[in-house]
Amino acid sequence: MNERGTKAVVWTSVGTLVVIGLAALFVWLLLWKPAYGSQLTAQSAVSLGTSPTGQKTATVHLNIVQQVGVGQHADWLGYQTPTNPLHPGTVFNLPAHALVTVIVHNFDSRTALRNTFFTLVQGTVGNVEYVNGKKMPLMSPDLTSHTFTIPDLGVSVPMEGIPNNAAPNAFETIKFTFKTVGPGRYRWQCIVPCGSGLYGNGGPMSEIGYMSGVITVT
Amino acid sequence: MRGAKHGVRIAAIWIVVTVIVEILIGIIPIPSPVASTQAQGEHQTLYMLFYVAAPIFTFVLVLFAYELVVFRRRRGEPADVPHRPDSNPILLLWAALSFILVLFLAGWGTFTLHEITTANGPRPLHIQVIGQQWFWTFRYPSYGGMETRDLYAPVNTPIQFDVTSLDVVHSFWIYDYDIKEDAVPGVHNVAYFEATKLGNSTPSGHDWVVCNELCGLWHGHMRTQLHVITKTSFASWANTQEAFEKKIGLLKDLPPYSLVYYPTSNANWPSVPQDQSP
Repeated sequence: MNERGTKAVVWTSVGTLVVIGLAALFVWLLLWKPAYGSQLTAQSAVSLGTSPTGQKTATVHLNIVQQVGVGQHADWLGYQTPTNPLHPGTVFNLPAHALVTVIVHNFDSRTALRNTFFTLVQGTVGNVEYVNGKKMPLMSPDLTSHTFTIPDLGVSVPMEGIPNNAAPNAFETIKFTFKTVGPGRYRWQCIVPCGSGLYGNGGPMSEIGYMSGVITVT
Repeated sequence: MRGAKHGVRIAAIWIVVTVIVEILIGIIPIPSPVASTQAQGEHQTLYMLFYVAAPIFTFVLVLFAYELVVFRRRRGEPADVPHRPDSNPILLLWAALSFILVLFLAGWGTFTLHEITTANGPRPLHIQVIGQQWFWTFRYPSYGGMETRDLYAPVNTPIQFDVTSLDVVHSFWIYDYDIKEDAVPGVHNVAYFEATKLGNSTPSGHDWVVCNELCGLWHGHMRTQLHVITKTSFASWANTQEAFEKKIGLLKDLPPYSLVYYPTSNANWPSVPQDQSP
């Protein structure tokens, strides 16, 4: 084989390998599942159980704080686990077809909704929430602070914020129950534009672990 | 004459290939399903373009392939052949045919565009579509301005979607019914719709409203269900929903119905006076 032939063989082989490599990388990226769970999972917030009737249950304890105090964006607000050490509280696993009770302590002040439609409690058992023990099907737009909204489960619950003149460390307790359906991954978010940027949907609203999260139902 | 022999051959191959391609165009379904009058117009236009383009496409390819095979340079032949002058009658015929074809397609397209951007009836049902990060909501001005999370629409009824956004640019897209319109903050966009099939009767089996404009973290999940139901079911659903929203107090908490909204409730929102609205 002359020099030209050798060159051709070498370059064709290199080219083929590069193409195969790129194709393999593409397939790997397609199959790759984001490792939401590895660092962000807040499973310490979830306690599982079974009711006397055999119904699977789960209880999720969360805090909404003005500054998460940990991680890359310690000054951002967000949902957080109440347990020590503090941890972002927006990614967790829940059992399928389970009654999930969420208990939120909201330490954050009030922010108006952009769309007051989300003052309506939706998708929870009885379509109600309990704010400091008081049953509520609809929240006054003046009281809202954040929401807990899982679009694909039809769940949306407004969170009452603390008044401006509240004592330090004051909080509102919000409790509601919803039912999970079959296995899947469900995104959830706060619908109040409480983040940064021109429209308030940047920063904590646009990063998982603060005001957005993923619930994996298995 | 050798030239005539080649011409007959090329014409024969071209006709056979064209017939096959035209049949294939007729058989292979073009997505999406035709489930609204708007989709009918769009599909007819698409098919017309394909049918007209097919013979031209095949003519170019057949001519190219035939020349590659038959007129390829053989060993010992010169690299180039003497230049043959252009034929004016052929050029004229080509220009005239192209002119007529383009004019015809432009006319057809303009007519379809006019048809799908005009309401199907004198008094269409108005449904407002509101995009927000990352959620769709819908308001029904004929039912007290009530707002819903899912989109309900009656079948065989002319509908006017009044599309707007509360934050960034979204795009309201109902794939199964071929409806798409940009949702722009402070802008009132209009899309017309008349469903000819009930929901879930489309081949994909489920109907979604999705966002077709990259709008942030949950853009890919910004979807909600569409329910195309009978006129009586719709009237019953709408009356029940309006009564519910009135009773629970949601209706009075919603802002007055408007074609665009400038929410000033958030400190970050650029405040625009109402009288500057279009």
